[in-house]
Order: sequence, then C-alpha cells, then structure tokens
Amino acid sequence: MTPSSRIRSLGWRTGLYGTVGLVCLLAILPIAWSLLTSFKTQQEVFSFPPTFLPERLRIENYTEIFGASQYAAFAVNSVVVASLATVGTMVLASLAGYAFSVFRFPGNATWMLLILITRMIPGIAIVIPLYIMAQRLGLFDTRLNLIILYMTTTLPLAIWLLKASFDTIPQDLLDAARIDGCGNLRTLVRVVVPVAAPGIVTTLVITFLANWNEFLLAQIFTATTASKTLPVAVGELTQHEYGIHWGNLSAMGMAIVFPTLILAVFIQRYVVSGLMAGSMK
Amino acid sequence: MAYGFILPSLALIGGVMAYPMFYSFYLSFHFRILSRPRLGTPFVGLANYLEAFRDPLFLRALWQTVYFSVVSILAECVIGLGVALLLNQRFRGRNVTRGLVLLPWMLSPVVAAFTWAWLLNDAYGLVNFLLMKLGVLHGPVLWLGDVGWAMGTIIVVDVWREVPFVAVVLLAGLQSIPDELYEAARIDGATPGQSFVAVTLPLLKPSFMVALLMRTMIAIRLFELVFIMTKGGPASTTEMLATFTYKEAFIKFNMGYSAATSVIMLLLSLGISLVYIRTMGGETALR
Amino acid sequence: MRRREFFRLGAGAVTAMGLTPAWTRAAAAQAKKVSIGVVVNTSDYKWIKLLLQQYEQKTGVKIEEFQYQSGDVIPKYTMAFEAKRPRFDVVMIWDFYMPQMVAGKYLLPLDGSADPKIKLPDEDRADYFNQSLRGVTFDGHLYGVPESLDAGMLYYRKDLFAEAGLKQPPRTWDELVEYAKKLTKGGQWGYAFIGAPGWTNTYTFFEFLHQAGGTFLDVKGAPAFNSEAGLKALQFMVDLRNKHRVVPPGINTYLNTEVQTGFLNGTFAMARHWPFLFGMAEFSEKWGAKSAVKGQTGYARLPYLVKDVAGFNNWAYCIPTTAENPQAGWDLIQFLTSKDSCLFEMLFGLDMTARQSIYRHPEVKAKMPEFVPFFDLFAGIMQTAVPFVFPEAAGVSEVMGQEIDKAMVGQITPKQALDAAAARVRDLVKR
Repeated sequence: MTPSSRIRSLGWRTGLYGTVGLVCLLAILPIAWSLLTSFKTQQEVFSFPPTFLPERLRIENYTEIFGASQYAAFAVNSVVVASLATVGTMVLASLAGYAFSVFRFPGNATWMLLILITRMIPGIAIVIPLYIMAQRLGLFDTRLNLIILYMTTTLPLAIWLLKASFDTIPQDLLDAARIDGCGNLRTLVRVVVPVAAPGIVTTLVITFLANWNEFLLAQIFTATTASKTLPVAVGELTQHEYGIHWGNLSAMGMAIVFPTLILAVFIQRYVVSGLMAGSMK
Repeated sequence: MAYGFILPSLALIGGVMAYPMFYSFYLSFHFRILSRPRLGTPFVGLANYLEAFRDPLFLRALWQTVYFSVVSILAECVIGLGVALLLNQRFRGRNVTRGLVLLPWMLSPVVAAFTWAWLLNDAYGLVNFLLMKLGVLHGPVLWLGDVGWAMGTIIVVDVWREVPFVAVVLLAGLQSIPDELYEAARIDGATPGQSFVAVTLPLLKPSFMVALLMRTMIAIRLFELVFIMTKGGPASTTEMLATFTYKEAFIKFNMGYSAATSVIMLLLSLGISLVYIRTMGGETALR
Repeated sequence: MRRREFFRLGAGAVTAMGLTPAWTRAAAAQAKKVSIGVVVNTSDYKWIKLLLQQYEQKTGVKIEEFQYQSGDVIPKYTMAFEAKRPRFDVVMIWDFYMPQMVAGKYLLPLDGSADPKIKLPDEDRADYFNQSLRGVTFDGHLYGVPESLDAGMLYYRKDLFAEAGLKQPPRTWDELVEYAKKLTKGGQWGYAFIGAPGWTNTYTFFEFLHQAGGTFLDVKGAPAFNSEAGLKALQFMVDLRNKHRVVPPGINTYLNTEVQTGFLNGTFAMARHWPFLFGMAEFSEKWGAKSAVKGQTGYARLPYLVKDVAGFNNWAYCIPTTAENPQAGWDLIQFLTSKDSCLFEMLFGLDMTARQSIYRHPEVKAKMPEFVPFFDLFAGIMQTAVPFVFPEAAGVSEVMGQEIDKAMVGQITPKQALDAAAARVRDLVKR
C-alpha cells in the first residue's frame, strides 16, 4: 500500500520509529503535563524550576472537585446533552443526507448551501436573540435547550459529511433494493447505513466531540446545575479570585479528556476508513 | 417525498436560526447602543459597514485573521501530510500511535488553551524551562505577552490542535490510492520522489480540498483559543475578527456595529467557500 | 372517530386542570421567594453565601441564587435585563459598571425616589465613607448599597527591607524606584502591579494619574488624562518596566492572580494590591492555602508624586428595574448590609466592609488585634481615595487598555498612546 515499502534498512527503521516517537511525544506532552499537574499542590505548581513529579500522587485535587456534588451533576448533564444531541443529529442528518444524495430535486445545491451558511455565522451575532428566545420559551438553563442548540449547530456539517458518504454507495446496490420492493426508508436503513458504516461512525465521532467539548453556548445558556456542563465547569475554575487553582483545573481537564481518550484509541480505525469513504467523491 | 426527509432538519435549523439571523442582519443596518436606550435604534444604512472599513482595529483584526488562517492552515497541510505519510507506513504500534496522534484534536479547545497557556507561562512554564535547559534560550520568553511572539504562539498551538484532523483526512486519501498506480510508476522508472509528485499529490487533491474547506470555516471564526490565551493582546497583535466582534458587542455594547462585523465575517467565510467549491471543479458535495 | 376525539379532548382538559393548580400554587409561593444574582469568584462570596443561608433560616424566605463569574457577569446581566428574564430582585455589581447600567435604565434608585419604601435610611447612609457613596451615586440618585471596598495599597516584605537596610516604605515615586532597584536581583522583582490590557492596566494608570495631580475625565465627561500629569504618570508606568526594570517584563499580562501569587510566594518584594491580600498573606491557613511570607507582610499607603491618593471601588447591591419583587429584594439588601452582617464580614471574611462603624467595633478589636492598625490605615486611605467609576467604563477601559499596552511594550510613546486614547474615548462617549 505504501510507495516505499522496499527499503527496510536499519537506518530507515530507526528514522521511522524516531519520528513516530517524536510525533507522539509532541502530541501528548501537554496532556501528560496536565495530568501530572492534576496531582500537584499549589506550591509545587507555582515553582520554578518546575517540579516534574509531584511529591506524592495527591488525589485531593480530584476529590475536591468531585466531592462537591455539583460536579457530578455537571458530568451527568454533559453525558445526557452530548448523547441525545448526537443521536438526534445523526437521525436527522441521515435522513437529509440520504435525500440530498439520492434524490435529484430542484434547488438541491441551494438548500445545501443555505444549510452550510447557518454554520458560517459567528456565534456572537446570534447569541442575544437566541437568549431572548430561550427565556421567552422558558427553556433557559435546561438540558433540552442545549440539545436543541447543539443539534442545530452540528446538523449542517453532519448532513454534508453523510451525504458525501452516501454518495459513494454504488447505484446498483440502490437499484437492487428498489427492485426488491424497498421503499426509501427501508433502503436507507437496510442497505445504505450498513454499507456506509465507516462514514457514519466518523460523522458520529465528530458530532459527539463537538457536543462534548462545546463551551460558548453552554456558558451563556446555563446558570445552575440544572444544565451546566463540564466545559463550563472548567471555565469557572479559571476565574478564581485567589488565583487559578491549576491542580483543580488540570483534574477537571483530565476528567473531560478521559472519555475522549478512550474514544480515540478505539475508534481511530473507523475514523480513517470513514474519511476514506467520504473523500472518494 | 425527498422534502419529507429533509423537512425535519430544515425545520429545526430554520426554527432556531431564522429569527436570530434575520435580526442580526437587520440590526447591522441600524445604530444601537445597549447602554443608551435614549438614542433609540435609527436606520443608518451602510454606515456600520463603512465604519468597519475605516476602523484601524477592525482592519487589523481582519488582516490578522486572514494571516492566521493562511499560515496555520498551510502549516497544518504540510505537517499533516508528513504525519499522514508516516502513519501510512507499516510499523508496530501503528494503531496506538494513530490514537495518540488524534488526541490533541479531540481535546476540548478550552482545556487545550489553558493547558498551553500554563506551559507557556513566562515565570513557571515548562516550555521556557526546557528551552533554557537545552541552551536554546538565555532567558524566559514571554510567549503570550511579547508583541513579536504572541501571534506565532497562537498559530503553533492551533496547529498542534488541528494537525491530527488534517493528517487523518489525508491519510484516508492516501489509503484510497490504488497500489497499481505506484506499480505502474515504478515500472516506468520513476523514483519515489517522482511518483510522490506525479501520483500521490494529484490524487490527494480531493482530500486536501475537504480539509481546507473545513479548516477555513473554523479558522476564520477562531475565538476561544485567542480569548483565553491572550484576549487579543498584547497591543492587539492577536486580535481576531471574532474577538473584535465580541468586544464590540459585550464590552462596548455597540450592537449595530458588531452585527455588521458579524455579517462581514459571514461573507468572508462564504466567499472563500465558494472559491474552494469552484476550484474543486464543480463536481462537489453541493452538486 | 367522534369518541376518540372526545377522549382526547377530555384527556387534554384533565391535564390542563392538573397543571393549573401547580401554576397557582407557584404564584402563591412566589411571595415568599427572592432571587439574587451573585458573582461567585470574588473574595466576598464565601461569607455572602453564609449570610444568605442565615437570611433563609431567619425569615423563611426562599433565596434563589443565580451564580456568575466576574469575567462575563456584565454581558449576562445585560442579556437578562434585555430579555427581562431571569428577573432577579437583587444583583451584585461592581460599581465600575454601574454608570452604563444606570444609563441603560437597568437599575432602580434606592433613595426613595422610585418607591418611597425603598430608601436607604439616613443613619445608615452616614455610616458609609463619602467616597464610597460617590461611587454609587449618579445624577444625584443612589443606585446601590456598598457591600465591600477595595482600594489600592502598597505591600512590602519587612524582612527584605531590613536586609537591604530600608527603614520605612517608600513615600514618593523616586523612593519607590530607588528601593525597588535595590530589591530587584536574582529571580526577585522589586515591584509589581496589575498590567494586563483592560480595566487592570487602566486602573494602574488611573492611580498614577491622580497621584501626579491629574484627573481622568473633566466635568463634561471629556478625556482629561492626556495632560502633563497624565504624561508623567504613563511615562512612570512605562519606565518601571522598560527603563528601571523593577517590574517583570510579563507585567503586561498580569491580572490579580499573578500579582498576589507572586507576592505570596516571595517573588515580589513590593506590590500594589488590594486589602484582601493582607488576610491571604497572614492568615492563609483559614483557607487552606500556604503563604511563604507569613509574618513579613508590611503595608502602607501608596507612594505618590503630588497627591497622596489611591483608586478604590465598591461592590454594591442593586435592584434591577426588571425585578419581580423589588420590596423583597430591598429587604434582603437591608439584611446583607446590616451592622450584624458587616460585623460577620469582617470577623469571618477578613474583608473590608463598607460600614465605618464596624472598623471600631469592640468585637473586631478583641478578636482581630493584628487588623486594627490595618483598618486604621485603610480608613485613612478611604478618606482621599478616588472612585474608579466613569461613564462607559467597560468600553473606555478596553480602549485605553489597548493604547496603554502599546506604550508598555514600547510600540508607541506615552504621548502617542494618551492622544490616541483620548481621541478614541471621545468618540466612544460622544455616541
């Protein structure tokens, strides 16, 4: 599969593994540093030269944060909002992506462009009207509000990606399904989804990450533990009057990263093959 | 029938975004200061837009946003290609490596910003310490506080965050290039370098386009990274369109003006997207 | 078909009936509820929280707390006032932002002019520092009740002074530079202040400006800071970093955090900071923190050039015009600012209360003897302190902050910075 698989000399392999090591190091160094910081005391944090390894693995930073019951609520909110918003987006985007891909109808490109345009408008411009809308509808500071907003912001990209994914499905498969008497919905579910699975997983991962890490909207539209999410909690830890408590901040950061870390290791295979299916237009 | 499938999505997006978008657009042609209700909301036509192009700070933010986008996306493409080529090789631990390499991108931008801000701290940061230990630096550098370094630092952090995404897109593209083409090139006597230029690069063009389009849409709207690390300073050297608009809206309460700059941002994104789509040769996802 | 419709209709009616009592119940319950917007990342919140609990226990009124961070509280308050929701009855605001809140007609006057029952009694009014009241009074009307005070003070390390043979804290700018130079060596810096662009470096400049005899805005609200005095002030500020090099070069990124951390861990020999630093430095165990400088914290009035002044600001309780229950809000404010509450603030929070009488309270003298000289000094500072309050404060300090920052890093001269700032502020205020 690679163009230069012939040279297997020692020099080549050392170079390869060396570069791989370097790349990995650069990728995870900041995260590793954050992990170490999460076990340090304020004293150890604010020292120069920097203390690399904390004297002992203080889990106080973690217990301080997670002991306070609030943070459990934040985590629950994050999980609920991110999951439901992702599911919602995937369902709606699959339907729409299928329609854009398979049906030829007037204004196809225009609608797609319009949908993408909603994603190009900067958040600041729409925040105040959205805030007023949310308040009037009594949705302010609710998880439902975040779910609606997140679905709205992730749909355009999801539709675009899924459409590209569905585009790669050979026409004969679709024709065969039609001949077998499948209606559109059946075709989508029985034929398209399984074949385009990698692309769907990619879209799902991108969407979930966007929802899990989203900060700006959450910060504005939440006020209490009823709907505050983990990224907002991180933001709050950084505005401490007595100085940023880096230990706590790092611990919180790790808590947010951990699920994504697990996700990264497991799904990287799918992401690659999914994007592969997606870029083959 | 088709409309039935698209309707739920359109209804949601339209229902949520229609009023804010139209309101914002409408507001951009009016004058409104939130803390001066006595001044009302008079219609001023294109005055806000004209003022933007006369405002040195806006023009600066515009230039810096474009500069940032071009440089960081270019860097991401080059480095991303390198990483993609690397991950395309067969070696032990490849899957774990791919997972690790994806991490920076999966990290929340907010967490990434704080983590890096701490690493780059002039007094307690690890980066200064390591560089001084290695003898590269003689004294601590104000990565985020020095006029000469701040923009570069922001670019480096953003590149760190986004390279994994570009690399993975390009990797997918690399893996879809059929081996036969390389075989054919080899038979024709091409060196690895030549086949890279003649076979790999052209066939990667669609992948590059996908990466470019997606990255540009996001780069123009860059906010969290800058706001958290430098707030647009020092001396406005990292002011971006998004931070500029935020400050106009929420600190100066100049709603009409900030609506106008938002529309300008939108038009910029749209313009660039259309350019890409044209370049993709018409056969695009939009069809 | 008909039967199904009837069924549905019936189900709907029952549901509606089921819901209505809940609404009416809620309406009745509202009378015993009050809502307050608090800024939780301030040093004040730890005792405000306890006071709120006390109020609930004492009166049985349920308090609904909306929590905010100081970084984005103003945009959020503004959006809340614009959307008329949430309808807080009380808000905690930094007086720096009050002019634009008042101009936007978001706050209710508290001197009886809006509602005769919402009036700060005269005997209470007399208990506040004059300067303090100046900061919350606009167009002749009182819009907030001061809750706690902050004024700029000089902190210094007694041990380092003794080592360098310095007998007393500097009183003039020249002495400040001289002492700071003696104390800047190794990893140690002689002086530090808040210098990040925005309200932070504007505040620092504001103090130097007044100490040089200048004023910020003239009576008509036009910029008056680009005067001779202003030039001297900004030049001095810039020189501290670039010429005398007695402050760290990163000072143009310093917020409160950096200054207090640096003083507490011994990096700064002197610093300009807020009163709460004293408590942090000397009594940090109360909050489980560690101070490396315990026992060595000296404090004094800031050094000056012409006028012996400092800047100061209040946090205040205000009632928004969109309040659902202003009377309940006023009741809560009166409790939070009562003599007992202020006493609690001092004893528990080690924070500077706004009420003068508490400073001389016998209980304070008995329980916090180390603080007595501190309070005396602080009360003295308050007599001449200048409120850091002016129209469009947020926008003005954003603009000024940018120009001052450019001067600090040497991109433009102080004169250019002040002239540019004056022009931009003029535009801003003229809108």
